[in-house]
Amino acid sequence: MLTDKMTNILGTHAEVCTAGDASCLMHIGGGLSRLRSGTRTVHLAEILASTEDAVTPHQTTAPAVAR
Amino acid sequence: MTEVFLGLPTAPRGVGHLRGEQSFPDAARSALRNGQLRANLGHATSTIRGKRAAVVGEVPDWAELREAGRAIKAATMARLDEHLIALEEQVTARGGTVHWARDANEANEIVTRLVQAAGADEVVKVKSMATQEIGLNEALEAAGITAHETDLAELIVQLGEDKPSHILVPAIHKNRAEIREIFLRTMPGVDESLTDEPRRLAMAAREHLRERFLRATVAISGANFAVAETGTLAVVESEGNGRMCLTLPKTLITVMGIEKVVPTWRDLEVFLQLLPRSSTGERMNPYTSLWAGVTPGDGPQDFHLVLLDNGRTAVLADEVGREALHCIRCSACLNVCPVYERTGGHAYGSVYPGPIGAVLSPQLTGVEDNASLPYASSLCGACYDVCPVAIDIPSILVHLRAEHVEAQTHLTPEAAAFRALSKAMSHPRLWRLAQKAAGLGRFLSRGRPTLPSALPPPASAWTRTRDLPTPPAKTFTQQWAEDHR
Repeated sequence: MLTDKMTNILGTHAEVCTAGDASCLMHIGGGLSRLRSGTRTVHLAEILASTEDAVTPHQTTAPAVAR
Repeated sequence: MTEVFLGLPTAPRGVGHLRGEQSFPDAARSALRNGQLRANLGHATSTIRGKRAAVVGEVPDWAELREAGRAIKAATMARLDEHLIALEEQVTARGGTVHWARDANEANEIVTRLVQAAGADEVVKVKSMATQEIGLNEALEAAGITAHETDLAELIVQLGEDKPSHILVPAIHKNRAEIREIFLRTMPGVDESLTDEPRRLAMAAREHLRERFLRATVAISGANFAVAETGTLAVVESEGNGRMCLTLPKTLITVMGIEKVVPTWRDLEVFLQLLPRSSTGERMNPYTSLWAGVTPGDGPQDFHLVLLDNGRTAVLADEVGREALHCIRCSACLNVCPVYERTGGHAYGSVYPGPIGAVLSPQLTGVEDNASLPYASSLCGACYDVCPVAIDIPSILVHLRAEHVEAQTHLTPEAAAFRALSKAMSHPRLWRLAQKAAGLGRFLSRGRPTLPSALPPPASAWTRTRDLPTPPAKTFTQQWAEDHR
């Protein structure tokens, strides 16, 4: 299953693969790193967290964690 | 002396095909090495997945139909005893004979005795999971009776001295070149110029079977459904071989799992829509044969129905697991399963492979005899999504894993690890200490985001394909405390 997943991911030539399940990401990420493929896995929450500082004026909902 | 209740009887050992010789991971490892098998399965399952999705998509009320199927099954199981007695009364009133078989051995004995009473030394068979489950062909052979499988794929498997690997498409692991080779090798008087063109292969099988249909005096079938209120048995199929078996011979013996009963004729309306679209991806199956008892001067004049338990009552007693009895054997869950698609059916060791087999086989045999099957899944849930009667297979898998873990008498390494974790997590001081110890992993990583990729055994099995992330500089609680001062 891992081989087929990695074939599909590498076929897209994407730099980053994301998903919502940490154990799937760890499994796929481990496989990709062993191939030195250059494609890494990032959890969706990490992507969302990295955009926290760049809040656009159009955003209407308050951030989940109040500062 | 007080009696100890040891639970309801499960399917007996030493008979039938519910237990494999190897555990699933071992059998899967050899299957995965077979490139031809991977290619055959990948091709076949993706084709059938596409067909199913198309014909299910065109039914506007599929969700309601599915819920109706689930509800009928749940209601039927709740009063299974009453429905079975009603079925017996109706079949008997229409000239049939009903036999009750507690397990595989009893069912095999009953059928053997009936075939012998009919004076036959060979039988023709309709494709049937129940008779494979109990190993009927082997039991008949031991009594000097030859059983001829008449379903094309079952014939291929039988001639090749192979085992079925799929509920609906038992020869799914073979491609047509392999089938041609089997026919040339095993069919008496086969045309030497046989090619691997599907039509030519089907014609060769047809000729081979026709002779047996006309000769046989006894037929053996399974049943897809049995209607309690009318005593009607139903077999759905694609090839017409079933219709031949059900109408030509003088004696007909049907072996049916007790969970196949439905209360009313009207219930068939739901299942005859759900089944073909889910299984073959057809709007309707080509042949639907229905019969009740005996009709003078038309069809078999001697009809026997063998009602088989073989562990089903034990499954019914399990509040979570009993849903597995709702299965109508469509095999949609096999075709969508990422595990089945790669390992094939043989790795499961039972006649019921794939996700439904992983929940049904361990329950029929008792989980100790099929302990590796509940783990033969990534719990992705695709099986639940496509199941036409909404069996929550992932939940049953987890339930059976728990049952297996709780039945362990010795402390396994995994159990020891979780016991330690549980202790640490319920003692704050211990937990903080453990976190500090984990922080030492930062030294091992030397600034990289993951730890070295090889941990010592037994963790090495896990790190063979996974990287353990480097522990963060601050724990969540430290970070939280700093942010919320």
